Amino acid sequence: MTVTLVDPTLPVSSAGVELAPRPDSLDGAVIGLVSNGKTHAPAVLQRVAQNLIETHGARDAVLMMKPTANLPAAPEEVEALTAEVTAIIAAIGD
Amino acid sequence: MLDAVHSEELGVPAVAILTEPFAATGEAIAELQGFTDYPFATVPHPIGSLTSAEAMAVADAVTPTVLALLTTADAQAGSADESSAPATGITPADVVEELAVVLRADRADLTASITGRHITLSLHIPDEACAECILPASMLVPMFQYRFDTELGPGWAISLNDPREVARAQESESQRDSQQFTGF
Repeated sequence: MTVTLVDPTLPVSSAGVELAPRPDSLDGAVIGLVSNGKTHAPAVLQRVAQNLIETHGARDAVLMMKPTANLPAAPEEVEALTAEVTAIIAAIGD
Repeated sequence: MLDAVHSEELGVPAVAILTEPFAATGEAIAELQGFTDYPFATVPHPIGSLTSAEAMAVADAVTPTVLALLTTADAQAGSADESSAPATGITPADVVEELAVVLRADRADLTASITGRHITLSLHIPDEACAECILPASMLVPMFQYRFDTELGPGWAISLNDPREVARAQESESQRDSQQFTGF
């Protein structure tokens, strides 16, 4: 009898990926908010965005609600969001 | 975390907010995607059981870190060093004293021990003080964190020893022992 052992771990997709370039400030920025639907996640994200708008010059915020916290957002949804925002905040990992 | 990482890959800066116990998981997820030492923001756990007001306090407390991680002000705020602190000349001891002054109005007090960039705060509530007048630890911690972040810059971790939490834990343990004895 042959037993096939399956490795459940994931390989590292690539090495040495770098951060996206950061702006000097959030002046005029549109902030994308990615909520995973956990309790308080949308409210916390919107409060952070409100703080950034009121005191750090951000212009607006766009909230995206994921249908589940168990999976990442669909690639096309992330692409659509990143096309219209300056930066993204995702929450809450818990 | 994956959504933040995917955003970075698309060239848009991102920050993920995780609760502290999930920091290691977040680091592992980012590393699997090729981001070693990917910086993110952490908040106290849990979030789900907080009141709305407490959740807002957490949001206020984490805002400076989010700002730092999204701009060139300090893209590595998760491992911020002294250079990220505002050049105000304010020391951690000064911030502790500011917070202690507020607590003394209710006849409580606050002391601290500082190790590296970790500040262990100890709340003192003598018998004659109004324990009920002082906010619970779940609200004090994010408020204190916000104060330290604002005054000193991001990268300072705080913990709070609250005698009310100790008393509550002892009472809970006592009740458990009593129930076990009754059941026996």
